[in-house]
Amino acid sequence: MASAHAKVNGSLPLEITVDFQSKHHAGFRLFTRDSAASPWKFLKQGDSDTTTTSMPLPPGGAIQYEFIFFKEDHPFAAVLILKQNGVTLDGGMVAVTAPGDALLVVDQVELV
Amino acid sequence: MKHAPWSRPARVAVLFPAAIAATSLALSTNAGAQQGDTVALTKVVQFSIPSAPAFELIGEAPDKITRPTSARALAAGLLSGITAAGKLQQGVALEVAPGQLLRPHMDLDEFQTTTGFLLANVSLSLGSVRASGDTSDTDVGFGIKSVLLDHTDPDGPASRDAGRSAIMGAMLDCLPVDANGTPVAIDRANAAQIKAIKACVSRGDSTFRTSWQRTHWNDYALSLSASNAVRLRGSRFDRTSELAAGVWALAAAPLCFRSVSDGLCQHGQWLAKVGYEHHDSLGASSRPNGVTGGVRATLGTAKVSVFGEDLFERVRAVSGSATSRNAWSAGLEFLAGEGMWISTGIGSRYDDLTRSSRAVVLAGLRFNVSQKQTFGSVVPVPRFGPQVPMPR
Repeated sequence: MASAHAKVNGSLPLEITVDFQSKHHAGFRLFTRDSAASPWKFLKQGDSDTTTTSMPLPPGGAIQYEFIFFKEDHPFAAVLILKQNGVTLDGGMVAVTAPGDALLVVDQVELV
Repeated sequence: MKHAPWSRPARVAVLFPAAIAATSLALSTNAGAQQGDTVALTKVVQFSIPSAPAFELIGEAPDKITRPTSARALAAGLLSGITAAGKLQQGVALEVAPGQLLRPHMDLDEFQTTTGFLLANVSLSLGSVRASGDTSDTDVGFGIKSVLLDHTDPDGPASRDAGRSAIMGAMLDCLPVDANGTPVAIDRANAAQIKAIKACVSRGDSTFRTSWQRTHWNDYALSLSASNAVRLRGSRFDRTSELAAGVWALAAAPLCFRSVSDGLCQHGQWLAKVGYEHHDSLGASSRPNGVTGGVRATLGTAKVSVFGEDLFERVRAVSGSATSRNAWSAGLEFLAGEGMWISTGIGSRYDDLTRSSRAVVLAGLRFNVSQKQTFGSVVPVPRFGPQVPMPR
């Protein structure tokens, strides 16, 4: 199960933005961990408004995002954006789409 | 035990069938006199919007209508209706939804805006049939149909906030949390867990939809359609004659003018239809040349069904003289025992509905007995599932 990889500077806070392209009937949860050996820690959950949170995360850490979508007839899309100092990281733009009956998307971004 | 006084809407819902029944008794002797006029009017005024307005003025819509979903398919459909000599073929039947062509991937957010909803609910139709009496002439109809308002739609603008709130709540219930209620990350390698969450989410979605449709089946809705018909002499585009034009509106409202989740008000609905048609003398149409319409109120529960309707028509003859007529019908039906429905009423609509049942005349009133409900086609009963009166 491949994850995306984003190149991060461990000494700067990481800005994590969830930007829903379709704004209704969708929700998300974010979890982070400092290393592969660490447990997942709950970071944030919300509905389909765009939201940004900032926190330090070291290389070797990871972010797990969980998106839920509710309507089968309409396509859904969201973007997970990782920035530092206002600059999008290499590999820090992840498109999340839910065509048809996907309903639930669970994936990870590993920080390198 | 003291009962709480009924609310005003509930009184309305109860008084409505009582008034219908009283009217039925008082005017039952006139039913026969009305019958001659109402036979035609009940067929003229249908409480529905034409499924393919292009055919409304030129004839019966065919069973098969081509519905292209891309510009290329639309162009192909149009071109296939034209002969090599540039004449229109007879038998063209096309219906296209501009929203599918312009915004094929409209998301729910856009659909729930006024513009998105209107765009998604507009359809255009085109039809051609052989002109009566002349095999070389072709009658062509153009139609447009739109749902302007539909509070019955669980995905429509009216349900946006309620849907979002309900579904976000369902989402939180579906995702894993620990004993303290703190969210726990989903194990993405655990297919069984993900499958269970998806099923839970799907149930939450279905629950909301079912609930919305049950509560709002009779809610406000408004639909418009219009059509224009021309005759092509020799099926040629440069030899056209105007045949007819028409516009129709259908509106629905809850019986007590507000949506409720229980009580008698939840079981009733108002429907109002008005249409205007203008027919050129060229078209030997049997349709009215003027304004027609009607109002119908219904109330349906598991054991009682009631309807009352008033239809009107004001038409203008070729000579210029105008005539008006009016026809009303009413009926009351109740479950008298297992598999035995008894109905009584007056007017042509009631006669149409009870034609196949056995009749007994008592005290000047005709009572019909049937093993099944006979008012089902005019009185929606929510217990049978959501019935959305406004076609998309």
